[in-house]
Amino acid sequence: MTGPSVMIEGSGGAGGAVAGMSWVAWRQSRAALLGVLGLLAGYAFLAIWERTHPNLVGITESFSSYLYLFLALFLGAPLLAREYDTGTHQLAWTQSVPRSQWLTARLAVNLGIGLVAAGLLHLMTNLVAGSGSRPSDVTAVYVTSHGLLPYAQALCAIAWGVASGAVLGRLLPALGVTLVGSVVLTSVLLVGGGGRRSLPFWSIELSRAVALMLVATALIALTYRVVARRA
Amino acid sequence: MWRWWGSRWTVLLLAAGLALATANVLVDAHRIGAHPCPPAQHCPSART
Repeated sequence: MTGPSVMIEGSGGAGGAVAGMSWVAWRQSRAALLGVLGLLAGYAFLAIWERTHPNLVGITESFSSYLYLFLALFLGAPLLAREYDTGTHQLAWTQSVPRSQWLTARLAVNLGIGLVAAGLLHLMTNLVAGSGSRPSDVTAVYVTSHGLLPYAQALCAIAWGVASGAVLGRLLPALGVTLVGSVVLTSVLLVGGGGRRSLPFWSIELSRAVALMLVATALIALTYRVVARRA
Repeated sequence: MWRWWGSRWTVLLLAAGLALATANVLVDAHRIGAHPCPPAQHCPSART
């Protein structure tokens, strides 16, 4: 394994250590990155299928809500839980890079992958809909798959998965809690549209995105706290 | 020098995500306007 040696080599200077840590974070996120790429390839196939079959209009948008569930499972829950399961966190935490920087490097990579994945799926739904068309019905699915919500949902789902892994400390329970939490989050966002139908689109988008980002920030803060206190 | 690649790629990744998000939100804003119909209501002027 080349990761730890990079960290030691990079510990000569503060900047080098952080950069080496970042490189390790990329190496450790390779499997998750491949999983997300496979998922996006599936969505691309679905988008092409929808484009070539007019009777399937809206199928990509309908399935887009499930992206956040997979992001939480691929990028969120395993980030800390797998480290705890295999014990590799102890190796990482004995290097010269502080735990908080180690966590920041790993979070930055996984949140970045989630942000780009949400953006690419949003781009696909926009391209499938056609450049000049307007939505005929602004449904709850439309609200969750356009505007600001795809990004807020992606970041919140990943933060939920990471916090679950940090608190539970085991991969399988963390995956279970992440799955249940993500399903609840998606259901609340899809069903919750019913009570606020009088509000315009951007008001709903902004209020929900701010709420989700506050939840995500609280979950990330909790994760830093749990990691700092872990023996 | 190669040790900086990690953080550089992370910054590029985050920048790409923000750029994609901004572009998509602008497309949505152009498509549905600042004050579209409320959700779950049919817009008479839509997709004409």
